[in-house]
Amino acid sequence: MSGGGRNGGGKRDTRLIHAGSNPAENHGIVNPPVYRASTVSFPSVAAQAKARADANNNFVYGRRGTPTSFAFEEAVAQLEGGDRSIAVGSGLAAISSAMLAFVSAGDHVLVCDNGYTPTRNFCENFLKRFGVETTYFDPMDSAGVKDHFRPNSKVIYVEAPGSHTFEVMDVGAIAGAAHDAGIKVVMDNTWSAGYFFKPFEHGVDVAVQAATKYHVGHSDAMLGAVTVLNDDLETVMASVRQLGYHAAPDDAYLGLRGMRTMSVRLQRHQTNALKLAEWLAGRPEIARVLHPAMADCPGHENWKRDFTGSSGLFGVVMKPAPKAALHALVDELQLFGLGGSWGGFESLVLPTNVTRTASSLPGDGPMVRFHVGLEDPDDLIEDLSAGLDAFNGRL
Amino acid sequence: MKDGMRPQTRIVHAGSHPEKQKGAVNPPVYRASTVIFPTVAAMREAIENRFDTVFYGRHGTPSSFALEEAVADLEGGYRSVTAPSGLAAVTLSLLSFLKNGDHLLMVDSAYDPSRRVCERFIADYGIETTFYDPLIGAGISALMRDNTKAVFLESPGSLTFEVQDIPAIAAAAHSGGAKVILDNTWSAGQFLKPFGLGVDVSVQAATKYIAGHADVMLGLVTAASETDWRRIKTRAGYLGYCAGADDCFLTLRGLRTLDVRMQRHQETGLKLADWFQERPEVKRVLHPALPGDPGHAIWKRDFSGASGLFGVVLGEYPQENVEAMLDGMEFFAMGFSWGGFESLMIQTNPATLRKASPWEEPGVCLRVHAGQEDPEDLIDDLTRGFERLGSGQRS
Repeated sequence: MSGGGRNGGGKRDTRLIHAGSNPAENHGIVNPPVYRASTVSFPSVAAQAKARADANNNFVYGRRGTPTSFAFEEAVAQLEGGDRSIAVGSGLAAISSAMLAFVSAGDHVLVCDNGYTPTRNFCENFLKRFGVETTYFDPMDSAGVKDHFRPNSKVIYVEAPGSHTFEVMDVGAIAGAAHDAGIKVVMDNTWSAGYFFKPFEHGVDVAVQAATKYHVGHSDAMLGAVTVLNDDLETVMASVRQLGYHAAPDDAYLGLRGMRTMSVRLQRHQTNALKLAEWLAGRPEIARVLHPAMADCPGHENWKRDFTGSSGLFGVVMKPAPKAALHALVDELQLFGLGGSWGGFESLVLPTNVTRTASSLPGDGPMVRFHVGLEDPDDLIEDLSAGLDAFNGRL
Repeated sequence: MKDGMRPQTRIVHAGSHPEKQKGAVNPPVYRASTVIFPTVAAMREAIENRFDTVFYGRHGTPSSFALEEAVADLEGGYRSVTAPSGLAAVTLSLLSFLKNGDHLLMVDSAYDPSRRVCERFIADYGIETTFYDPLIGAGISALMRDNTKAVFLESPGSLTFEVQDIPAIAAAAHSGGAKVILDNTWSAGQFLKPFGLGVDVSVQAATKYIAGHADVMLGLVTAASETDWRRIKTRAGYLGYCAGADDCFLTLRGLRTLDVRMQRHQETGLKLADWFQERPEVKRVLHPALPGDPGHAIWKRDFSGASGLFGVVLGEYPQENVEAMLDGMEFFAMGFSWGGFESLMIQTNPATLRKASPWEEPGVCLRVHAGQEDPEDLIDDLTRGFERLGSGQRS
């Protein structure tokens, strides 16, 4: 093996198989070992000094990462198209460290109104206490976003498609306006997994992944990653270090292991989800399907222009119905687990309650989010059909 | 799981019991030796039900039970027994049905370590082995003796990929009172359902496709009947076979993506096989899904697909040219085993192994494992490899 493929060449699917791989340093073994480390010992004072002089690129202390987490980070950075990725213990840890990197007391941040709910909670319950103010903006009003900018605005947080409601904003236009005003653009790119959307080609400065979802892909680890270009590396790294964030070695290993099958999994998630979305769109109980690949989704044109595919997560707005009917639907489902998070091999369902302060909701009826797993889609459709029968029985 | 679920759904849900593990999707990793009982009566009851309950770490935990349940479902058998490697599963299956004075019919195209178990290990215990031509079909009845207690098959054959007529061989074996054991690793249980074809015991080197990430050693033996399963489980107990808890977890984790991975392995394997067939350097491609392959008709009858492992016979080349090709490959790693996410290619020499059916192709033999990379990158790599094969120039 010349080894070039491990570090450089090849298309997206080939990079997913070889990125971060370094058998030459691991006795020829394909996968990196799980290093469980705190202390790293050095043979001499000089060796320790040399390692610490470039602590971002050497194995110096367990909390700063091990060859296990470095391999995961390398693979994520290549997938996102950034210069460097930093592994942290959860997706929310990635969001908070990325935002805290750029703000101080007295600053202002902008957050899209359809952002991940824990991001809103972080702004309201944490940033606020440290003197950082948040404004929520309508994700579909890219021309008007600059009206919310203030001289002390430091970060704009974007997420496409939006949490629960799946509008696809024009990331490039919003990033352009933000940069004109000297504002950093932090994007939660979890829905696309970095596979279907390349954030740095659209003006994003910092890309956040809840790797818990599609990278890990098996509902068995909590993991996040913050990916940056070299200009922002020191700033973001300092934030992660000061917060003491650290990704556990087994979880970093499982994150990398998950990435090796990301392409085949996402392909199935995509086709299954589209099949179910189309089936649901034809059902009388459903007022609206919220899926970026469907022509009536707000921002569908942006999705078509900027994304190369869609993942397995989408939503529906039901026709107005009593709570008992919605609960009967969810309780009847056998193959769709009821639970938070998503991105694993099995299908999930979640009734959602969404807060919007700067934009409107997509409908009046109850909203439900589906994560479509790797099952046979005909089984899933039969399951949903039984669920909708139960729903109708409680109307 | 409900009856009637389709195979793709079963792979995602088989062996899953969130209700027994506080709602978590995946079983916890139980690292256990001692199991504590609250009373003497409870301990006595556990010993009586030792095949169906947690009773001592070596006999299994919910981590291994979940994997065994899922693999039994995949293979379509009664129950499975985990073993610490694929070879352990082969040996366990043989030792479960053979004793001193018995006779074994072993396919001549078997996995080399399986051959060695016959020639160098069980021979010492008074068990005689006759190797038979993989293409023997119903003609195997001529080799059956009064003391023939097991017929071992592997289809397609290791390195040479001959497809066996399983139903014909099984019928002859059964009429002579012998058990039929199949090494079903090539199909992963995904593409061949052994028990409908007359197989009694199916062996998987789960190390390969089921674990699927080159990071685990694990085997499984699955039986069609309760009687045979009890016999195997009891023998595993005598021998002290025990699969590691983390390895069971990772193998079950691998199983959840088996369907999507196998689809990609199959497509890429066929793409590469077609490409090899068009090349002047290639005399023969050994892949049962190719219409010209000698085993194609039987493969089509019994299998529902092909995995990513196949053989190539080149013309006659100097060894240094072959090494110039192999040493310079960018994406095809050289190494044993297969079934992981990345592509592999090694030189093989089947002629030295055969006893009953000589291998008479004079050319250079290769074994190719088609991984999940982008197939165009793999073809580019092979194209450059064939340039080195022709010129003898190293890259």
